[in-house]
Amino acid sequence: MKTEQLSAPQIMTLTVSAIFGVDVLVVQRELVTIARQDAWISLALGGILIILMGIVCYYLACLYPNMDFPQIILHVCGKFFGRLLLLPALVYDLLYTGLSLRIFAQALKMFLLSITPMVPIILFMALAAAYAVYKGIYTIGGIVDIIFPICAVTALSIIVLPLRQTIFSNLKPILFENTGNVIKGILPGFHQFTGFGIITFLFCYTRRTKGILKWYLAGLGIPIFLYVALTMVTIMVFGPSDVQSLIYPTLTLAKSIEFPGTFLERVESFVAVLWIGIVFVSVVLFLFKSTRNITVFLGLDTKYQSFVIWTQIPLLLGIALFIKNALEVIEFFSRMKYMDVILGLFVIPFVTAVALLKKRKETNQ
Amino acid sequence: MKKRSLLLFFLVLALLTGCWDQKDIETRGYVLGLAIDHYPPTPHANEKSGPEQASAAEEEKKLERMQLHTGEPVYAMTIQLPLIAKAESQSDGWPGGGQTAGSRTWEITQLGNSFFSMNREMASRTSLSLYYEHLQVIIISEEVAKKGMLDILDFFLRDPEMRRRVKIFISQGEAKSILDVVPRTQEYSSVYLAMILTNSSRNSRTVYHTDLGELICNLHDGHDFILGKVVSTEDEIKTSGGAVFRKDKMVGWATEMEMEAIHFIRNRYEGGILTVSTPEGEEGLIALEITSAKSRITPVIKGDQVSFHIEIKVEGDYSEDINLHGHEKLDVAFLKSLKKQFEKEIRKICLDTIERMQEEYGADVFHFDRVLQTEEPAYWKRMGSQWDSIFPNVEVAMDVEVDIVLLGI
Repeated sequence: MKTEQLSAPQIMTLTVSAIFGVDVLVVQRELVTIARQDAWISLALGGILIILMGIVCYYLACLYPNMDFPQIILHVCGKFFGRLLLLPALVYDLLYTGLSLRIFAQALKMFLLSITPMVPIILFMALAAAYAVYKGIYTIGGIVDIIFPICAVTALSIIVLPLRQTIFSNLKPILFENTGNVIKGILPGFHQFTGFGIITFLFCYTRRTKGILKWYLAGLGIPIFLYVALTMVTIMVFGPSDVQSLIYPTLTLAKSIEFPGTFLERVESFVAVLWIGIVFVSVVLFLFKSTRNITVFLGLDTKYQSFVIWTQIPLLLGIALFIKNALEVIEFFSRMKYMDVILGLFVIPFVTAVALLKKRKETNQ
Repeated sequence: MKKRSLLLFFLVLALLTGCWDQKDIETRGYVLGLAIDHYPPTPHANEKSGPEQASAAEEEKKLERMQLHTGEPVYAMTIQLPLIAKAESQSDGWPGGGQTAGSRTWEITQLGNSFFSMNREMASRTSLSLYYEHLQVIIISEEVAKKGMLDILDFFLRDPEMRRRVKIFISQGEAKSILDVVPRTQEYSSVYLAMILTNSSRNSRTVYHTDLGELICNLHDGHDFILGKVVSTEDEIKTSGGAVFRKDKMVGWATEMEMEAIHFIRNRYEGGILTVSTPEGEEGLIALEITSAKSRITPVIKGDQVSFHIEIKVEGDYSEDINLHGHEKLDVAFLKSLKKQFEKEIRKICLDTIERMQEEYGADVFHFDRVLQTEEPAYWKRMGSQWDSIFPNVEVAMDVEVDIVLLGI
């Protein structure tokens, strides 16, 4: 039992914040390339899969309520095999955090801070995130409490404001000779919700009340609904062919919002400013995960955790700046997220199955 | 204490990041309008009235040229910058109307073959830093539009300062001359032109959906389309009618009434007036102010043959009669016959427009192809590649229903 405690509603806000992130800018592009106007169906099916896997994560966390994911994996699978399974999760969380910082910086540079070099944008975001992690999960929960309404309002406004420009027929024909592509899009749809397994890191900090599963499922449902709606609106505004040519469809969508007359001419400035908060909490949560993974992987005592937090900064900077080309970064980011598919669909169910067997054995003994 | 100092140091550093992008407002050159003409221009496009003006123009032409890495100049790009200080000092009463052209604005023209390099070359002619976030209109000359839009669009799509809702117009003649206009009720011709479109709910003869986003969506989807037509005098600008595009090339003009028909068929009619002669053959006119118009296109497939059925439902108010003592005649029977007259008129202008687009331009500006793609995807898959030869012969049936709602007082 950890000393700091999170409330059940905070599980929802933290889950939403972990799933939301830099992906919100590019979520439509890859899926529309695969499934064209039916991309939203792939995303919805990926979302259903996420809910199923989320329930598995929840039960894994419940089996060992005093441990977080890296501790569970080492406890269940043994020190060597556990570390072998933990390594991809560790690498994934680091890569995701680093590349999120990079995509965040390059989009910010493109739309808001054109002269500011990327290094300080990445560095200060990483430092601010590291400081939040350093202050602990309770502080992170507090930050998310403040930023969550902003996330929700931003996402909703991006969906609602362009409705005047939508053309419903852009979503048609629905599923016409496209079922194969829709199925092909399920896994890319699944990995858009990366971060869904955050419950395995948070459960040990909760009061274990009964409502946690309900709040966690709400936390999964909100981003699924918003991502599907965002994808539908983007397709309805631009049409599937145009979406494929956009590097940041969500920012272009925000730039396309038009009101009669000259009222609210540059809505995307508000969107960009609020979006910084969304990316920030996502980076904080992934840095928190990565810190816990590294600490447990190296077998370090918790008192050295702050050292782990700060030493990740140069590593994140290196990951963020490793690839030069903006489009290559986004494509590598999408490909890299298949690691999450493997972790979510294979590693976590495997660990849960082994944990169940182990628990049963312990009970029998 | 040491920790606090360190934290303060980082906080101060974080605040400094904003300075990188700091730009004083007076050093920005807010580009309001952009015109693209072909170079070299057609001989009649740039005629000057006297020898002095001709020599001044020649002097300026020298500045407009730039050294090119490859090729020859193909385009003349003109931008309109507001001279904010002048606008403030001369704001006594209504602007324009008698002011010399360009007194509140500066139109800079650059010749070249790449828009990005022309844009950067302009930086050698102005102390201002050019900024496109507030760009209102892009005016393209008919000559450039006829050569194809795909060649010129990339700069406008790639640059993050450009907005997809920037209005695009095709000028009959030189595009730059539209920017030279000094309107009577606005400081700047670009803003004036963009604001004319806010009247689209009163006049469906202008093309409201004429922006960069609309253009690029049509180009990506391979649809034919219409962009707004613009013409000007010294102090007036008129946008009415449209430029018809087949794929990315302009093929001709659509008249004002044809624009009304296209808006009816494409369910984009926002409001306007329809005038018919009296049903009983008297020499009177009756005007209907259309308040709502909805259309629905249904494809009818018979084997490899396709035809379309268009339903248009219109609501409007009896707004005026000319040379007719309407108050005496206003009864249910009269209104019924009037309704038929309006229905007949709408049907006629729509069918005439479809026929002209089919026969003269072969341009499917009604997006029948889009209807097939979404409603009859199996047919489209089978026959879509032949659409260019199918469209000119497609038959269209039409049902129009008009309801006259209000009759005035």
